[in-house]
Amino acid sequence: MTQKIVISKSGKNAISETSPDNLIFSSDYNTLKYYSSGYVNVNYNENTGGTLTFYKGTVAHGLDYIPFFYTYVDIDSSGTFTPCPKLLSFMTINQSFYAYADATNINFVCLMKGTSGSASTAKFRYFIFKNKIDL
Amino acid sequence: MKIKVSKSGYNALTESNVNNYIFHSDYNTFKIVKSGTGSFTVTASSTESKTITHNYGTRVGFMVFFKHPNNRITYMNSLVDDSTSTSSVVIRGIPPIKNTANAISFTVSNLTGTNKTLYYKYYLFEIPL
Repeated sequence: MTQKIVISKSGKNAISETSPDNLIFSSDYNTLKYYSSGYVNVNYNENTGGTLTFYKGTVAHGLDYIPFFYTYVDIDSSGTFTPCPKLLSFMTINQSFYAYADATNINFVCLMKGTSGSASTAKFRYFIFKNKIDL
Repeated sequence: MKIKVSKSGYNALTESNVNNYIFHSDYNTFKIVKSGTGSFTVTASSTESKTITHNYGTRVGFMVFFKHPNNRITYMNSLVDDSTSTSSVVIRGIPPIKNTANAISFTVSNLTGTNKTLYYKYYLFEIPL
């Protein structure tokens, strides 16, 4: 018999309950494990048209594999965070705020057109989990 | 009865801030109920609908990470480009990536003249939708 640790919700039987929706914890199911989190500010010039310009910030994830991560962005440091990617232009890739991972870093990008727009700062909020994506 | 595991430096018997716990049985955990990996090829210079069949049987919360041709990884319909490298394959946000009871579907465009292969990993979460 396989040993398990199961904690059911109130009113449910941990011995017999099979729906994960009725369990607080079950060792049958993996969970996301926090590893690190923080903020990265990326300065950029607002979109004006012209050549695509990438403004980028990075944070080293410090793992020997690419981890599960998730990112929110406050595009003008006004206190309003939305999930990445944040696309300001319908059906186009300019005016985009997004994040990606490589072997070393989590990278945060503000993609605009041109370099003559008003200066602004995007605040990225990132969460890195210990879970290995393994691709 | 409760089961609690506090963070180092906090007393599990007296701590009242849930953020100072590693585990607390009063609060549900964010369970990964299923995950899987695979790949697909996008034909040169085309936009195609793709489906990842997971057969979980219930519509739940989900996340998909894609490994692009430039070996960068991101989730859902995000980009991976910067001034040094371009994926040339775009997971389209319109129509949005979506999950039904048994499959995740989305649209992908290959902006190059050669076939491209993307690798993916999906996660399904215990969040009934």
